[in-house]
Amino acid sequence: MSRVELREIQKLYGSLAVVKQVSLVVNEGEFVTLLGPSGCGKTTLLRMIAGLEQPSSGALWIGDEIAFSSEQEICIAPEKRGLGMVFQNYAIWPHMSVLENVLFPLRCHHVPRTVARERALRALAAVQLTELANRKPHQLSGGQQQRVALARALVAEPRVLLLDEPLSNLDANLRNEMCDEFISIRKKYPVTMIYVTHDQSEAFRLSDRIALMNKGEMVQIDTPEALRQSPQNDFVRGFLLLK
Amino acid sequence: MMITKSLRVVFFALLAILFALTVFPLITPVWRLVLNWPVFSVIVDAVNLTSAVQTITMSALSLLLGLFIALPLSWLLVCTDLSQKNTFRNILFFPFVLPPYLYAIAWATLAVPGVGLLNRWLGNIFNVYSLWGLAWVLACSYLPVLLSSICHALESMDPSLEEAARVFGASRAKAFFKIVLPCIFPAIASSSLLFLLAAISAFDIPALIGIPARYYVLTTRIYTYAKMGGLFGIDQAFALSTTLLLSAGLFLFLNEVIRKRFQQRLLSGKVPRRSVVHLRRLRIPLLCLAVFACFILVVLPLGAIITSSFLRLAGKISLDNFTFENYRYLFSMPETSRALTNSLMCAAISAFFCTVIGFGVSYFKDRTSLRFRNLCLRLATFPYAVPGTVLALALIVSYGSGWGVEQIALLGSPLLLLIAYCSKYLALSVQALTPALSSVDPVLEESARVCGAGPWKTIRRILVPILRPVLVSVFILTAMPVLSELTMSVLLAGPGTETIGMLLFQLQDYANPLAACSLAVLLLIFLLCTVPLINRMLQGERM
Ligand SMILES: Nc1ncnc2c1ncn2[C@@H]1O[C@H](COP(=O)(O)OP(=O)(O)O)[C@@H](O)[C@H]1O
Ligand SMILES: [Mg+2]
Repeated sequence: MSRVELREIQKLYGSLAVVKQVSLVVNEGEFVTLLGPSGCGKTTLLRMIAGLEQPSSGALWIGDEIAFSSEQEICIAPEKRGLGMVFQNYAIWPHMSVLENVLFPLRCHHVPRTVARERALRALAAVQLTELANRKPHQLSGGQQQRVALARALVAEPRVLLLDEPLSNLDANLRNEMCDEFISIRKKYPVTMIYVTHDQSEAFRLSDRIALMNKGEMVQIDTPEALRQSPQNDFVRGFLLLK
Repeated sequence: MMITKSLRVVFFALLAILFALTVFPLITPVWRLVLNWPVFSVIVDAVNLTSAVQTITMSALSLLLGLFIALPLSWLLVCTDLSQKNTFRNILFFPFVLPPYLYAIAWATLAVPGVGLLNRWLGNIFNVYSLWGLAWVLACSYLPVLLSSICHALESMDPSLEEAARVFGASRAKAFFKIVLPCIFPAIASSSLLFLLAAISAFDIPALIGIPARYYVLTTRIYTYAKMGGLFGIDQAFALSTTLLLSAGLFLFLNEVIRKRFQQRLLSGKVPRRSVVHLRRLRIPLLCLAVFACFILVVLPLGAIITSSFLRLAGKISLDNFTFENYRYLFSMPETSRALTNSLMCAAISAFFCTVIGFGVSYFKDRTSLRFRNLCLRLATFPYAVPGTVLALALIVSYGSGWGVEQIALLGSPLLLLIAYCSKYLALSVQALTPALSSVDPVLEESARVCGAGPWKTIRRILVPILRPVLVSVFILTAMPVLSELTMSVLLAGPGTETIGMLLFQLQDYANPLAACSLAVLLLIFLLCTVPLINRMLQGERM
């Protein structure tokens, strides 16, 4: 578990600022949601935390380590950041079985074989997929693939878990079920979570704090209750459909 | 759609034509062989066994060379922030439209021991007339097969698969070898099989490069049997070519197996790539490498042909060695104008028939539920995979001699050439027309039928106008390979029915390599003209 700190992170594509001077602190073990309309730069921000995209300027700490700093010209490669991530389309590797998918992060961290297997099976059990361990991804339903992605993201006990709209490809029933799953997972694997969504009901249900974004800017960062009770401006009121 | 009687009649006529073009010519020689089985002993003849081994060695070596070039190049072209990627791609894919023997001619002028241009510049270090030379020329000319397939696979692979591996702790190299490579493996395997099929069926490059090196492969061996004269030679040639036929079948079967086995890996559609590999310090060196690849693979060979066509003496580039003599010589030969006329006529006629028959085949496949429509499609497409040498021999056996009736013996007549071209290249038109036809909403035709138009009127007034740009580009697409065809022409044509490819072959082989270069330049100009034409047509279709 680690805290994450973003300081004045900015991302330009050409001359267009997609993420503008965002600062944010996520405390150890906290569940923070990046909420905002589609196209506001949530995915870009999350990918910069993961190291898949390089910020144009700013600084980023994960735990006590500096992961990116434009001033000191530091940029740690994604594989060295010790993160877990659930992608919007799950990104389950099609040529590996479910178990091999979950084993892969452990292999990368050179965990001994027998220990790795044990941990992978434990992670699969945590998402109730033990029986499907030897299936191939194309034999799974969307919801099951989602669970594999979750198990794979958690198995190496990452410092921070990043989730990019993990529920957007599921139908309403499954979405509800998976929300409960996230809550119970948090108890089994205590981890700092940064969760991206455009759906406020998910955000309000899951988060300790919500960071509301609009057009690349951080509008308000608050607990769900505070956000409801004292929206900072018209955008927040409009987006949350408050009076 | 409602099937009318006239539609049914046309369908069976089409089926009959396809039988005559594909099934009958292949059945007849096989039947002859069965009756005449001792001729099969030619296969286990020591020289032929050697040729078989040499065919395999040559094909495998050129595949290795091809993959060695294609894998890093496609990575560079798809996954990195290399500048001018599209320009590189256009240049590297250009050889798709070139007949392979152009490469043989080009590398012969570049790397003949002694007078090759490269050997002049760099000291006498290359010898194209060797196994390595042969494999290199094959690899260069069939490289687009590998390149296009691997590039496409890399593009359609979901980039988040690789990104996920990175986040979970895999280095870039590990992510490439453990995730990317297995995901694009089906594409690599199946394009490798197609490459091998092309390599073992190739006649032109082994003939122009291999024979001077005394390196005989199956196709060139078959050619010598066929040219021995008489039906006995033809029988022996066909017996030997059954090995090629069987290997072609094997490759296609394996390809199908791979497609089925790895289907699930090919699922992801085209996904926009959010991040490319930033080359940073390697940017300039890799840019130079890409430029070098374009130079070696495309610019240098074509440049060599063009330059040599203006030289008095081979291999010496200087002003006093400059001449138009090669072109003058070329046009002073009576064969040249005959070859140009023959090839252009054949190309136009067979492209016309291919387009019409191909349209019929796709129409019946897509718009009707007639019983044998799938058979029809298969008959139209499978001869493309039959090696040209085999197809030509089969046509000689079944139509060449006329079965004792002098008047219908077609050997050496242009009709036999046309049959061969239609049979071989029909697949190109069917493969382009079937998807085009199925992308046209049947409602457009149905509403015409409701308005009172019969099926023929509907086709003429609705379907054909809608598909016109596609039909025109299909016409050009099938005309191009016919224009430059060599493998079947050398076996089927006779005096008076020379083609461009055949004339080039004769000039390069013994008469006058520099005049061959000037003929190659003419051919190049023809082919170059068609590329923008096709592009325009296809763009018009999209609008
Ligand atoms: N590689 C890119 N090049 C240019 N613009 C981009 C690129 N990636 C994302 N964008 C733009 O950045 C903005 C934010 O995108 P994104 O972070 O995906 O939004 P969200 O996830 O909030 O829907 C969008 O307007 C998108 O068009
Ligand atoms: Mg997004």
